[in-house]
Amino acid sequence: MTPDNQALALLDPATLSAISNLDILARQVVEGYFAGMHRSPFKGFSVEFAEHRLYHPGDDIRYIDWKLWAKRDRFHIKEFEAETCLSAILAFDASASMGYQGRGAVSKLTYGIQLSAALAYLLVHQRDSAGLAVLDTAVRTLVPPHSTTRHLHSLLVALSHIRPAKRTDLGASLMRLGERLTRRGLLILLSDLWDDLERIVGGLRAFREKKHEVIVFHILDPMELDITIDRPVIVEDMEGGGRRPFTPREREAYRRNLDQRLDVLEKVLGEMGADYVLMTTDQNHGKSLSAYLSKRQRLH
Amino acid sequence: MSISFLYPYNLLLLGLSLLPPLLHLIKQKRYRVEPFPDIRLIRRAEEESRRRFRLRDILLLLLRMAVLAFLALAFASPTIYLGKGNTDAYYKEDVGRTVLLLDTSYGMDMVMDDGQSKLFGAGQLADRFLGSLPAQSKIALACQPLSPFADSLSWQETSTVKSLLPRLTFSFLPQDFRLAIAECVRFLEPEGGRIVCLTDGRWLSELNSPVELHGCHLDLVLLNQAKPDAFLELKGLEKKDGELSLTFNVMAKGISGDAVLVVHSERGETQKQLQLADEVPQEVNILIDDTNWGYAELSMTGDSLSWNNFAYFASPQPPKVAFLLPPSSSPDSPIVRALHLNAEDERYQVNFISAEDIANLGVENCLLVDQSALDDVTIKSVEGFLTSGGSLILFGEQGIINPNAKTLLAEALGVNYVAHGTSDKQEMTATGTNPAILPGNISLNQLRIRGSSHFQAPPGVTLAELSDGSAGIVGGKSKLGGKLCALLIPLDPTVSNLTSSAVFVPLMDRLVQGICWQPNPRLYLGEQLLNMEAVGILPEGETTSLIKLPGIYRLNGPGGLAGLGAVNVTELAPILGNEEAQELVNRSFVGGEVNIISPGVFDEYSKTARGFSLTVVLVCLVIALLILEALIFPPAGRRPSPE
Repeated sequence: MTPDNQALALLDPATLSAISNLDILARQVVEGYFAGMHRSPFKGFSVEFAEHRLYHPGDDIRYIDWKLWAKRDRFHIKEFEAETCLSAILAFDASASMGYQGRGAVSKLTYGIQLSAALAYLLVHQRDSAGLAVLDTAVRTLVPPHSTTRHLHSLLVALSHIRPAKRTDLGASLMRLGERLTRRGLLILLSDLWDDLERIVGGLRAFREKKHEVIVFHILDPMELDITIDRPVIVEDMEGGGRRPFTPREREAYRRNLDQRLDVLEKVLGEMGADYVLMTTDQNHGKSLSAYLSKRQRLH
Repeated sequence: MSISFLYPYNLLLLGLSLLPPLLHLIKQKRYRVEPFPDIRLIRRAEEESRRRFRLRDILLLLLRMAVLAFLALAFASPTIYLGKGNTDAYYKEDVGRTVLLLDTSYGMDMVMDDGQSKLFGAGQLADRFLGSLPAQSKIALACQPLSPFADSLSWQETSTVKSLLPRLTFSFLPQDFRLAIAECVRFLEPEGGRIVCLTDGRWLSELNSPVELHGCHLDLVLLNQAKPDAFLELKGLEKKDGELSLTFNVMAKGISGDAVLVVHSERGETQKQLQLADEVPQEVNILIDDTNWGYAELSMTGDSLSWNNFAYFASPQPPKVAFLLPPSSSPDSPIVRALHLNAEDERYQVNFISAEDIANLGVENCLLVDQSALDDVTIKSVEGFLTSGGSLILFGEQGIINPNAKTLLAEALGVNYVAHGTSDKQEMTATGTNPAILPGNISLNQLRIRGSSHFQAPPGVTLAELSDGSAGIVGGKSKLGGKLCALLIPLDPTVSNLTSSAVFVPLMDRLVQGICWQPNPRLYLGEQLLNMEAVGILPEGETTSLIKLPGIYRLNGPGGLAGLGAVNVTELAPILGNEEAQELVNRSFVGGEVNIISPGVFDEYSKTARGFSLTVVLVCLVIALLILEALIFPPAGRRPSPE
């Protein structure tokens, strides 16, 4: 299979069908180069009315509200919210742990790539800019956001070339990515978040402080949620963290600790205004994404 | 408090208790290795779980190890001996079921530090032991060398046994502790009981296969605990091509340096220089001229040490035994059958001869004559044989004494008459019997004259009769020149079963050994038995000096060498220390509990030797632990599923 075909294969028709009628709506205003469907912090001339103000000489007389002049005998200028296109960065965690496939249909890496492809397609389809940042210990690959169909192809090719790295430092790589993104936009993090939680949250908080919107797709294998083994095993850390014996009786303790971690993640991300979406690789990513977007649309 | 084990080798099964941890380790090595994205939560879960389960796991592991260990201990059949306060309980149970077996071999003549012989010390210990028994206790006394009349073992009052102890003396009959203990066990069966054996323990090293105790308890009181200074033992003797090859074992303890081994033979002496090293055994081979007897002397002279050791030897020649039976002997006679059985023994050259053959019989023969065959003609031949220095064993049925036999005995023993005792009250002490010859299980005070006739020996002449009057042995140096032993046996099976071959054969065996094993009539036979001074193998003129030797260390049994080792008793080498003895005992006995007791603690032990078998307790413990495990640690299959 050629790289092009590989890239196109990432676009699962079923997934695309499920999300085709959904748009990613930036909950917050974003800065965009092009007029789009998203509100801009800059007042513009889109169809969305913002406010009136007194006319000052030099203002474009086309925006004088003549009805209001008839009532108040003063010139008022109508102002509109400027709609701009969304600039989204798909931050993809390419750590070794993403290569894990337990009971899921595919590995987390594959699942994340398919999910990213779907998101990229969706963004470009709605004329938003989509970019890609592949993260491990640093920003390994950065594809700047664009909204062209050709760019989508580049994104898909980049996605198809992602391979799991040996180690990861998600917190540090997020910080570095934040430093390189100057415009506010949407950060979509796709990761299993197996790193120091404080560092990850620190990295995301830096984005939020720069007024980026953040969506975190937390991708886990069902096996990670519940380690179902019937006999003791030696568990080896995929990122070189050593080996530990694991027995069935430790399963409950593991689940308890994992639940605590997920709760903390959801709580912390919620407090900073980021969306947290837990996805498991045994779920159809199209349906999951569709469900999330529907929910997000309703909230919007 | 102490513990002994009936089957100590089963303690090796204790190694099984290491099985659970080993299995754990092996299983751990076989665990599947699973890659996992991140193990930080697993580590935390493990730490939490470890806190919760570690104690439980350790308990489970210990419990399983304990189950296996207890099981192994149960197989070893331990018996615990509690301390003071159990005397009554012990003897209450064992009253009447204890055989006191005293070693009266000549080695027990060795003088100990207190200046007394070991036998004297053994007697004192036995006396105190008997004194600690309840008044109503009954006990059987046996001495080793055991009389072949094992049937004579009987329960006696402790007071009776105590009165016998001072009269015990040494015996030169070959030792057979295997037989002695077997007889004691047979006596105690089927109920079982305890054998308290006071011995120097030297025979332990000569047991070449374990003795079966059939559940009886054996308490070995070893009276020979000192460490040796030096040891010289004749190990091998081979005669070929007119030369004698002697092999000695030499062991020096606490001595190192140059020594000289001098072998004296009939024709001279041969020397060999040796280098002794402390506690390093060495085997020394020396070639000498052909000789019938001799002795080796190992000597060493230093600034502060001067000592020597002797080992006596004689050229081994199987005795020739000639049987003279009356022409009227029935082939079905028990004695004849026994003799025929004996004749098949390869240790002897056995010939059944006629009266005419006696005249041509060499003195190296031992002549066994049925006393009823002594007619007027035959007696002349027999007298001639005796006069020429031959050895004669006269046997016959007690109570039917051939007048010619009486005459022969009277002449040979130098007495004027042979009594026809009919009284059953007359005690043998009144007859002047030398008590020194009495086998250990003969009660002098109880010697009664039963039967229609017996030999009444004058003072100085050896005469013995079993306490039940079942048989009599007369032995001594014949005034006619040779050695003579008369054996009278009641043939009536209702009186005794001595004529059965099982008893008669070993009895004859011993007599033959005692009388004529050594081919040279000057060889050692035994001071008391022959009532003569020739106790050694030295020429006649030197026997006096030999008799002063305080002890004879070792006499190899039939089929072996007529060797006597390490005679210098003042530096006699006791073979066994306690540990060595324990090891030997573990090898030497099976099927019963054996305790080694030092003389110093015997008194205390005798009061506290109440043993409790822990086998049942251990088995119960194992079952209890298994139940406990099943209750507290249910099998994995029964654990509630996390689902």
